Amino acid sequence: LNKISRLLLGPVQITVRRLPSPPHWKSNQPSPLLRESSGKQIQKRRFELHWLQEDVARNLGVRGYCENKIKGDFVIKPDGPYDLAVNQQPDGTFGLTADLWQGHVAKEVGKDYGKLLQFYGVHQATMEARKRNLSVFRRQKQDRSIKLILMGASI
Amino acid sequence: MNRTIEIIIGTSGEIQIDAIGFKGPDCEKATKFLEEALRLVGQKRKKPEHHEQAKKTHQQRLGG
Repeated sequence: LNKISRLLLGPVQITVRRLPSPPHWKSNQPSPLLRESSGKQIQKRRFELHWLQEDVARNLGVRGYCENKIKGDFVIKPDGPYDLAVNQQPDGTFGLTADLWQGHVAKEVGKDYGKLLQFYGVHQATMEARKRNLSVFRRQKQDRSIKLILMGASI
Repeated sequence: MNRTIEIIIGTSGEIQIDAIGFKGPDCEKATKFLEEALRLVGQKRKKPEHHEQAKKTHQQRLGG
């Protein structure tokens, strides 16, 4: 009775033992280290897949003029009839090859692949900055160049 | 002064990196990771701040 009256009158405090891992886990099962959120990982992978579709390059080839296929380690598929081949060079850098006939490719990626190189530069710099936990502020200038401002404690 | 790194990426893909608020060799150290990641091979123009540290050391030697 004493216990019941205490329960009814006084505030009830229930303590639940917190388990370090979910109940279905085995005792020796390691807990995963989530360094990056899955959203960030998907974002990164999507970027890599979009621009460097290795399997597509291998299976479908790179579309050139008159159904000619260009050799490419990777392929970039812009909107339009032709693709861009990305080939690794002996020095480790990547070279771009495309059929520039009638400016279809240039329309999508800019003259001399300028828009693509700008896009690559912006994303590569942003990814490197994020790896170092730096904040990145992005601004488009009047001449259409893009300015990134990197700030953070690790600079 | 807050230290920042400014990167300007032009419409043809050319990249310009500017380290602001750095003095002496810190400037090059701060931008090295970007130069490596972006595989930048180009002309480096050193700002007056780059020489500031070296100048100070020189002055100390003269005074001492």
